[in-house]
Amino acid sequence: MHTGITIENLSKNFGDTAAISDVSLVVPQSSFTVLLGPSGCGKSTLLRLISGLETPCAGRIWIDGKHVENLPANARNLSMVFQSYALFPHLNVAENILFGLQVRKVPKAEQAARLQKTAGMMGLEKLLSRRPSQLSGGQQQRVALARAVIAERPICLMDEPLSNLDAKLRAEMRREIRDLQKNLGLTMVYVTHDQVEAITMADQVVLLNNGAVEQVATPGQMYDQPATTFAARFIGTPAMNLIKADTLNAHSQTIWPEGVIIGVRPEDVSVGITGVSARVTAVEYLGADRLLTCQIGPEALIARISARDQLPGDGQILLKWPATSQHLFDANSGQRFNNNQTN
Amino acid sequence: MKRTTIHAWLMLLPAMTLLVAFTHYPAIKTIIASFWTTGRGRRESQFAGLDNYAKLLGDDVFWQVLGNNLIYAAITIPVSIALAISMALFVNKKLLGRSAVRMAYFTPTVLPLIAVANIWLFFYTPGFGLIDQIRGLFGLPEQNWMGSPSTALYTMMAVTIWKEAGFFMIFYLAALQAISPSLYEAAEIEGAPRWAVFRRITLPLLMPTTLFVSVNAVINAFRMIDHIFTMTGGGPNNASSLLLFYIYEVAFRQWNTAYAATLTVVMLVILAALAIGQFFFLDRKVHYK
Repeated sequence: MHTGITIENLSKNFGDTAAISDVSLVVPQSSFTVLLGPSGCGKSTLLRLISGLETPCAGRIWIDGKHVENLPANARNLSMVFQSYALFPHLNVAENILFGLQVRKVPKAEQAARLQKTAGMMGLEKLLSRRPSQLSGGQQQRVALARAVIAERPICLMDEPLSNLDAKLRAEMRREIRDLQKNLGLTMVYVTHDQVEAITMADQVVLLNNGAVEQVATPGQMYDQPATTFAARFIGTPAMNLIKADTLNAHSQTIWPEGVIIGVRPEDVSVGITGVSARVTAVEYLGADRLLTCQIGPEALIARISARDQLPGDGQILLKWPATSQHLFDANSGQRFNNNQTN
Repeated sequence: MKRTTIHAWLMLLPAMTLLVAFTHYPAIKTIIASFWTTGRGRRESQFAGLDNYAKLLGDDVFWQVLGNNLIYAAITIPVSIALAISMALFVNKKLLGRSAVRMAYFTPTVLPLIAVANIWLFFYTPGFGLIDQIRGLFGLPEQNWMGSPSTALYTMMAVTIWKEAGFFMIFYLAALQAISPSLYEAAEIEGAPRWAVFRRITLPLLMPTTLFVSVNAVINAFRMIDHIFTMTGGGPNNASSLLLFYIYEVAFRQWNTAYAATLTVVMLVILAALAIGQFFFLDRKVHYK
């Protein structure tokens, strides 16, 4: 029997709007799975369905091989970290962390031992008697994590836990959460709209769009082989260039098949003596690299080139990229063509 | 004097005139009057020292109305607060016709106390009042609720609770809506039973409101006496009389203004002590954001 979380044909409507439609998904045990997508794509709803804070309209959820759709949240053997941290403002750090153990009537001695262990792990020993309002954002985040960790439940759900932190702290916490998950062997389901977070932390990324799964893959696969134009555009900064075959055909000697969208990542584009003719409209200097914004007929393309490369003064250049690093998508459905050797 | 100082005084003057004329001067005058005898037609008011206060200590009626007032406060305040919290919790849920229920709970607050008193007069009237009619259905005898010394004070309490609970509910409702739903969700994930959620989360987060409401309730318990005028007139035999009602009777029925001033000073001291006590006692237990 499969452990971890299995979701089958899950749907959830709010009134007439479908928040989640027919989602199937497997979250392997002890893996770090990120639910990624733009706001309103249903990723938080999916997490709340797993947690039991929302009940699905259709479909099934298994946790460790058990049906849980009809179980209340606390019977699903999971912990959760909220976007707003949901710390109890009138309780101090120790009371906040111990809240769950206290209401579950865990013996006092065990509570104290687990508090000491968890607080030590999260670096909160000196803050135990403070109120949440006396803590910084990062410290509050740690208390929220500690509250989830002390429950010693095998599954941990996180809803955009880093979105209220500044960039530096966010990078630090990313690493800490990842280490925590590995050391404790947690099955983590993590919601974010930040593709950098997803790529740096996840074992498995689940990309959602309009309440449906767009692609499930490792971060590497998702970057190298996006399944759809949506996935191609969502992962990577700057995003992958997507250009219609017609436009390229009009500006180069190579012929691309009709009805195809060609995707190419900015770092794969280089300036050459043959290729697609383009006009540079803007140059953004990044130190080691430069981002060229180029115009190919009506469409724009971004190329990331070494800052040392010389550019012609008139801005007219020829762009090329290796055939192996180009992605072909169906112009109508947005789906990837797997046979990629077209030119 | 500098120009700016004169300007400042001129700016203060309108508000200060009103305050001094209607608040400060009467208050000080009351305190002074409590040390003098009441002036009668033939005999001028004379300095009496603490005579009025000595008389007060030996005044059985004073002790009776003070006792009444304490029982009245001790019962109406906790009961109306408990009712207010329960009603607020109830109408804070998603339920059909929620705004109608909220409005119904708030209606007694909108009505003048005199009107409320008239409604309750009808409830209590022996024989054909609502309560006796219902009792009649079960074959129970008529009961003169307001006319018997053992129940008169409690009939007044029922009116007060009925009127105050809805008003306090509004404050609790506002406080409940300020509590983030994610706190309840966090408690749900932890498997906290309902009672634990209420005792450990809701109630402590309502404490600032409870402090505010209880200070107001204490003041109202000593201040609101309209229904006593309309319903019992303090009777029978002072059984339903409260401190302020007694002060009114002494001042404007017996025209013993000096003694009424003495009673007023005592009441103000009690109220001030209660309010300060509440702040000190509850403040330690109150969490402010």
